[in-house]
Amino acid sequence: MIKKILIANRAEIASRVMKTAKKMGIKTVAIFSNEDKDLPFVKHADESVCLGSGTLAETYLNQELILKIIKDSRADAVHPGYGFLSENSDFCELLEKNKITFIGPDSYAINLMGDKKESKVSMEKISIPLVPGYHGDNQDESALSVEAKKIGFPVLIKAVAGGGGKGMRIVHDESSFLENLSTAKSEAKSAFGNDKVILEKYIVNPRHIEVQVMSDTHGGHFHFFERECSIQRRYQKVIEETPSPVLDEIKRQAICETAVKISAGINYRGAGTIEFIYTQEGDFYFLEMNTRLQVEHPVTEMVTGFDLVELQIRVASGEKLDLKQSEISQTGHSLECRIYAEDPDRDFMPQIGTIQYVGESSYCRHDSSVEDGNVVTTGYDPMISKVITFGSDREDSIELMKASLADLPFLGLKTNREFLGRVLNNERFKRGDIHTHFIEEEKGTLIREESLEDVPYITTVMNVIENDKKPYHMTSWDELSGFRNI
Amino acid sequence: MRTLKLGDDLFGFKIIDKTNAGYNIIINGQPFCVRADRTSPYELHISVDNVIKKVFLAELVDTFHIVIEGKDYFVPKSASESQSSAAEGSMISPMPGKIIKVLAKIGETVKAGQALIVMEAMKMEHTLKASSDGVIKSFLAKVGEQVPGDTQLVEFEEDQND
Repeated sequence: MIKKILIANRAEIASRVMKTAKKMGIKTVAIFSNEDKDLPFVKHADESVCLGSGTLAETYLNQELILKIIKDSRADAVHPGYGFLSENSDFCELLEKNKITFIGPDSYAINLMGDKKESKVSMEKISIPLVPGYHGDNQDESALSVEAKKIGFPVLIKAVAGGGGKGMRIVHDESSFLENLSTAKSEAKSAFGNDKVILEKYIVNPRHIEVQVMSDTHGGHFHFFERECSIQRRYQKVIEETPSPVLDEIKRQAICETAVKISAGINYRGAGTIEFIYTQEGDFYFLEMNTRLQVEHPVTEMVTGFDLVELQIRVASGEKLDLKQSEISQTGHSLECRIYAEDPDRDFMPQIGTIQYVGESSYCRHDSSVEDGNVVTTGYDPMISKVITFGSDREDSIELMKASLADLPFLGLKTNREFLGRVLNNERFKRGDIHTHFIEEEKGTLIREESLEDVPYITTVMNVIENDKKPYHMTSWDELSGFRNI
Repeated sequence: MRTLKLGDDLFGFKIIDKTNAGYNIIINGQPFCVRADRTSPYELHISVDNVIKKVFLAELVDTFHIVIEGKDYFVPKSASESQSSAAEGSMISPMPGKIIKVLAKIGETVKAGQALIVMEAMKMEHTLKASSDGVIKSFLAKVGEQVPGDTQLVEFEEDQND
């Protein structure tokens, strides 16, 4: 049995894991950098150990230092959260060597799924649908041209060594294929010193749909239904929901069963997420598997009623999950909005500042990284909280979300909160007519509009503040000048 | 008379009298009866012609952050004060971060919009571009240097014709 868990992470996910550990009677250890010392997660743990200052490599990614803290605090298990060391197989092996339980999969699964090419090869072997493409060694122009025709246009040319869009070309028709191939190859050659390319079918306006899986070490492989995460900016999800508005029962069953086929096929352990790309035609293809808990896991918890962190801990303890797939059901609808310290009206530029007042809402679950008085710096990811609502249906959880966002002002700096509200009010979003380029495509309808009816309210506030600063005019407003200076 | 700028619209307003029931306020010539009640350090209930709304308020360095029904307003503290420290022909850092690249040389003639400095903040890269055509006089930070937000990073030569 696990008695004490060290959480090798920070912020909201650290607090989230501690909450469940506490419920299960398990002690927790937090690790934190100097910069993070005032964040709530440090206080939520039974013990907290400072990692000092420095780069990520010197703090949250410092495996040796973390191992020493694990030993010193006599923790017998580690929860890696998401990001950081959660998909690092060396860390997983280091813990194994030291007889410490890693609350996650084994290093085999991490390595397999971490290799984008290898994972696809092994998925192909167990007949999982993949984006049609050509990954062969023949780089001859005419051979590639024949393959492109076989795949069907539009086709995506991708440099094997590529990244950041370099050596990547979308080709819409056969006639421009060779020309694009040669630019892609020369770009790849100069950027990466390797001009080898692969071809893939280019999916126009896809949806991002993923399936939550959970496996125990006794052959139990379960799914906890899908999440749709098509609302993204800068390739990062900002709004997630379940059920997906696009899946009917037959499609849902097909995609969820495919996910279980994968987790069973690689004899997976613990919580994982299988990401699929879902086409306008209703086909879905395996994209990748994340071998950890996801940021957006709460929406799954809301509609299934399961505590996924609890299941992770039970599986890591070697427990057999006493469950049948038919006992896991999806009820109602849940939505998550990620609050980022950023300015949506200036290209989502990250913002810094002191959060004077977060706010409170009774309409949502609020997994927050910050509390009143915390400072948002440039050191870490600008996500500061997650707002999760649970309604009887999609419309209901959207309404609850709007009410929640209005209750949580995050006073003190610019956030994307108001922008998320604009997305929720967008007609296409309301219909569920979304895909991964939604925000880009709807840019014009998502711009800020001033609301003139607020003018008398704002001018009243300005007067209140003004009067307040005159010493001879002491009203109840005089307290207003006594803002906390944090 | 004070002014409030909202988007492209300018509103002049003044209080004409104060009674026990609240204030009478004139905005662009139109009168409103308003009343404000503070319910917590960051919350007001404001009634305008008997429609009450919850208003959040915090004082920042140069602005008041006001949130009404989920909408953010950042109202400059002094409406008469002109904008930021960004003067014509200078470039300022949008936020604290580290300079990772300098893309032009001292004495170089640059065009408006040309990328001059790449900085890294919050694990993302931001490119600072020339705000006008000009000749670079100096860079006020070096590659690898941490700079605060709102700090001038590039100086242009004085324009002879100015």
